[in-house]
Amino acid sequence: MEQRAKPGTTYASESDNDSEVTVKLRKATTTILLSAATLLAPSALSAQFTTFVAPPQKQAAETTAKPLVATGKAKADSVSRMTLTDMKAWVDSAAGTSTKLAAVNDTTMPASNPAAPLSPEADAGHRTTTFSNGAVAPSTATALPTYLVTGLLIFAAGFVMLRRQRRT
Amino acid sequence: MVTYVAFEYGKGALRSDAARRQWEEQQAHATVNMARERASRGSAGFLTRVAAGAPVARLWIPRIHLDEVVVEGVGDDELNAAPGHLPGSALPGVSGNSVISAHRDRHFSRLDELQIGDTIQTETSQSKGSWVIVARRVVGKDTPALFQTKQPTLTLTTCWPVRYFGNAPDRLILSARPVAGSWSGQVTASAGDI
Repeated sequence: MEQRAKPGTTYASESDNDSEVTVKLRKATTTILLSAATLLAPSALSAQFTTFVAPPQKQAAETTAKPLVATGKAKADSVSRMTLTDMKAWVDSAAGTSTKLAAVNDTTMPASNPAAPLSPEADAGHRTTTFSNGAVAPSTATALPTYLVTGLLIFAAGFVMLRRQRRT
Repeated sequence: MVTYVAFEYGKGALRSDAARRQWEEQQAHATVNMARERASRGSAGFLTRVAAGAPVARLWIPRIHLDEVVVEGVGDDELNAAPGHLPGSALPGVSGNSVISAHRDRHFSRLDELQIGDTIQTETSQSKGSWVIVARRVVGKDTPALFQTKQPTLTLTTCWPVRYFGNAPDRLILSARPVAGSWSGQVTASAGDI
């Protein structure tokens, strides 16, 4: 017991060191928590602002705001807003008898709409398989002659190279 | 590459022979059927839908010594075997435009030698007769070149230029009209019935 009460003993100095370490750890933890709170505070505040609900305005202001909101929603939803105009041209186009629809201006769909019928220029590469009035001539082009000539050239080049190798 | 080309040409030659044999058998059957029809009803036969690759006509062009059986369809397989009849067009000898196409490196390799005034002969199960070439033109591959006609018309098409390395950019179109008095058999249907 005397040894414990005596100041300056080894036991007493170890206990003081432990308490100092604990205090330092607390300070460090507090610092980290404060820093984190400081960093996260702006986002938390902004998040609070996003959930802000405006108070109801006067009747006159609502009547002018409603059409604007509706127009914006309709612009965002391009599928529901697409209106079919000139149905006869569309039906003819679907039946393959006319490409008039391609010339109709459609402001609701982008120009590169893949569902739109091809223009005559774009459709030019289409291969004729059945007769129709004004059809292009059937594609009689074949790459076989090209293959034949290329193959013969390669064969000849290989033959020449082999002969040269044998001579050397 | 050379082997592949030889294989394709060989396959086309075999199919051409098969089409020729089938054509001859078909002609024999058609002769018997027409005789039966005439005996029973006094009419001259009929036209039915033809499957792709089946022989539909025979084509002679004396000037370039061409004698080929024409098969139905203008797909790769059909054109590799023989000149192809464009589905939906009239058969030779029937009212309307009859369109026959072939590759420039195969059956129509000498089509460029034909000139206005040269004759062509065709034979189907319904009729046989001669044509005279009345127009010869070269059009772009994407240019509309085939049109309906009320009068019987024969149109032959192939790639142009005939001697060309790569895919030919143009088409050679020959139009022919029937030679009066050279036809045997009866025309029984229009192009819309085929």
